[in-house]
Amino acid sequence: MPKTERYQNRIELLQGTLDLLILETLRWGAQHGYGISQAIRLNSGDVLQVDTGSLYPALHRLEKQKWISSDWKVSENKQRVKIYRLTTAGKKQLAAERSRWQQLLDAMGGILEPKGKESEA
Amino acid sequence: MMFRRKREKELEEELASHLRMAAQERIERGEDPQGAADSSRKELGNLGLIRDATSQMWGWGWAERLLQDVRFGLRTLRKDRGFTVVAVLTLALGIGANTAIFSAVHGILLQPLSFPDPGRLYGVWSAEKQQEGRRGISGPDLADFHEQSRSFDQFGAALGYFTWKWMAEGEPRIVRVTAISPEIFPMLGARPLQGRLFTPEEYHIDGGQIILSYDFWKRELGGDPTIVGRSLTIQDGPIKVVGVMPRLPDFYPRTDIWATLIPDFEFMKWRSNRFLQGFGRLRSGVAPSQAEQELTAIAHRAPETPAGLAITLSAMQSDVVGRNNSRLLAMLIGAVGLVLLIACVNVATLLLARGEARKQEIAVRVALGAGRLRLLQQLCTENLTLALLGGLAGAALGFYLLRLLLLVWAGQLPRTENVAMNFPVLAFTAAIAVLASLIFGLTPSLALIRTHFQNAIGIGFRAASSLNRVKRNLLIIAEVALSLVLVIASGLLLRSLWKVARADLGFVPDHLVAAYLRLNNEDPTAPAFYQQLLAELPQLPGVRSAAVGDCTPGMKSALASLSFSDRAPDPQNVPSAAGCWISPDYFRTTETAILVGRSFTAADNLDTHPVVIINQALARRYWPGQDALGKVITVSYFGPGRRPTGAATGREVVGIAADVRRVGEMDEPQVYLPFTQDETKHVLWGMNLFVRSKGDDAAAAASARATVHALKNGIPVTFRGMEDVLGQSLAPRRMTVFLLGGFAAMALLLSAIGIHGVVAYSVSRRTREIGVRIALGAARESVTRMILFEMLKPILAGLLMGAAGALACSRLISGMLYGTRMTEPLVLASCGVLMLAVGFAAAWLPARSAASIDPIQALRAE
Repeated sequence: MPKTERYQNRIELLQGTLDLLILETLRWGAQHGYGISQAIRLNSGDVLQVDTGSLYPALHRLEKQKWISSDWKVSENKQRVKIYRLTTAGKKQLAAERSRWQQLLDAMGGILEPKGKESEA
Repeated sequence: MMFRRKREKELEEELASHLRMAAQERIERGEDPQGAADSSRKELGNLGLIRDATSQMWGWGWAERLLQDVRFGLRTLRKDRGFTVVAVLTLALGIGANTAIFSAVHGILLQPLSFPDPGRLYGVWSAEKQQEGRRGISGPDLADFHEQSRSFDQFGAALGYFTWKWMAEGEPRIVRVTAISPEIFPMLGARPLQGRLFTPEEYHIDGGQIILSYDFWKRELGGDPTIVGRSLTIQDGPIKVVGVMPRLPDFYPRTDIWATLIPDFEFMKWRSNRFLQGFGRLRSGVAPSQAEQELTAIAHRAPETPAGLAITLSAMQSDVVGRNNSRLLAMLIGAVGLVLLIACVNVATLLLARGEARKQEIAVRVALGAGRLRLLQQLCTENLTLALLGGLAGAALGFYLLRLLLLVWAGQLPRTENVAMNFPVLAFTAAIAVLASLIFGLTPSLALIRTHFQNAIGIGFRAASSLNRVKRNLLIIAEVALSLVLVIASGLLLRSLWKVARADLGFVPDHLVAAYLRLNNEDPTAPAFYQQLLAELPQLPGVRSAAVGDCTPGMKSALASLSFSDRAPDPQNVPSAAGCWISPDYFRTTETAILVGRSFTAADNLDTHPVVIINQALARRYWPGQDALGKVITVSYFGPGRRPTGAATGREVVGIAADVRRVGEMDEPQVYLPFTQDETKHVLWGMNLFVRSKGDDAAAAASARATVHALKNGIPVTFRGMEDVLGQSLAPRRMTVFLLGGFAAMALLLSAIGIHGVVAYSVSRRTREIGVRIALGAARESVTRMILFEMLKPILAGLLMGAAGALACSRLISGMLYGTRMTEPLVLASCGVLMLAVGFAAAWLPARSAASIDPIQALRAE
């Protein structure tokens, strides 16, 4: 995606997946925004780079939907950071999104598998 | 907003900490601090956009957009000041009229009565099948309903507005009295302001105690705090004041004195004397129709109750307001609704014209990437801003209009003290402003957006202009039709007023003065007094003749039931007529013609043959084409305080009098009885004295007054000219015509402005075409004529639709007409001509200026 594109568009494109990624990351413990973006980058082996312009709108939206909650903590180097954690509703949402994602993968797989072979051949 | 600022600060801090952590990591990876900060800042991207995108997630975006749109709208409105002023004033007129009328509707019709749980309060009436109108209930009915009915928590009755004589510091005055049964005040939840209510025993003795009304206490006794326990000289003796009631604006509000309704009186024991107004508080869960059935069944347990009689309930609120008044208010709401619609059409016209000038602006904004929906949203906000400005101005205008209305209505409409510009009224104003913005704004805004897209893909001006011709015609049709409805309605009412005022009343009101004489009940000297008075008055120099009667010509009088000797009585259909006890010179004094037979004489008295005089309407109805003289009628004449006169006496018809009309009513049957033949003498308690003067009414009245006082001291005598009395009864009609005419004038003015605007707009759109015509040699007058001629079709179509619309509204207005049909050709024609003239006059100005278009300029411009 070219950098000049408007952020809003990118959010729309990433929305479903980004939500899932954030919720999944928070499943392993409370984390601040920067930490979430780093975790996604590291866990995807540097493939997925979450754009800050998408991350924070997504975090604030998820918070508004009450799937995650936030509070301010003082970090080890004595600085105030905003920490996000998964709520009970968020856990349910994560389960739902995971199963939807699985369905999508299965469906995509069903379609892509034979075709992929053909094009490789 | 405070909340938002805090969030913004927190977001700032969150992003800053993100940057810090990113930089920290780079430093840990070995970058130099300055470079690390720069590159992490670069990596983060456009900070402003992140802030915007994130803050939109808070759900405040729409509010911010709205604020921005409103600000923008205000700016464009300020830029286009001429348009704004005209549009806001137009809307203010429409909204102001609606605000004023709605505050009246709200205060009078909608506001619940000032009693606890007023929805369960009902008036109780009796109606006889096939007989018009309704009456009250009788004393025995009251007792039966009170004892036997299970439908009510409380059941009572009142006898409203009868008169007593009050000696106020040596000067006799007439006071208005309302008698009530014991349940009434508890039913209304009313407690005395001072003193107490009547005790049960006091409902059995006559004239012992009274309670004062608040207004009387304040007005006549200066709010004397020691009044309770003291006495007033009422009728022939002192009566003790036991209490003062607070104001009861929704229950006989003009009452001076509250008295007890005493069931021991003879006239309260007569079953067919249905003169009491029944009231009941319905038990919760009981439907009015159930109660009606129950009461009707109870009434029929008494054998004297006529078979066709039914008891009916009507909500006390609607009785307090009255049918005519609710009809009036409904009509006025309709009228101002039309005015508002016309105002909206006008503003729509202005917006369409203005859209022309804004096409470029819109084009630029679309080019800059504004979405169609976003643009529409912005235009709607702009319209809404305009409407709200109009609403604000309208509320101010409505405030003054309302004060004018209340001035006009003073004393003519009930409950006007409830009428105020309060929160519900202002909410209504805001609501109609919003509604108006949709009516006037949506079409022009859609057109503006659409036109742009047409332009953008190359469909030029001309295609759009042919579309606009249709729209232009529709606008003119709407203006003409809407105004014509109002013009016709007020034309019909004006015609009715004219007919009422000019109607031959059957008597001559000028130089006739009248005074109400109130004697003490059962005054033994009354017959002698009247005899003496009527003998002396004609001797006075300024007096031509004098008479007494218990009715007033041209006014409503008590009803009497009739039976005829030449036909069997039909209990399902008892004939009735207005009744009046009169002295021999009554017809001579009121100058009512005796068409056949004779008038009464002094010889018609208790010792002679009972006689009656009937009017033409009665003769026509029961003996059409026959000689009614010599027929025999039995008149059961009753009312408050009356009692049966023993065996029914047949009275011989000795004369037929010309019909005397009640103001604004059609002819109704009437009987006249000689007042000397009332064996109960009851009629003598209160009589109207009529004096026909020789020219100087005031002098005649003064000398007559002196004569009365010479014969009997302590009687209040206030003479009034009959013309005055009748004029006052015309007042409601005059007020209706004034109001509706005012709104019709408003509508005419608005539609003239609107038509002028539409034509001017279309002329400006056709500058080039007209220029070409003139360049090709068209005479300037023919250009004017062409434009006027083009207006003819939509104006005529509007006239047709307006006439149809007026007919469709006939239900609202027909009840207020007098001798005037909805399709009265004279009214329809003159209203149509008026509208046509206004339409053409409005179109003429721009049409003329079209003729003065300079062809060279016009052609160069495009």
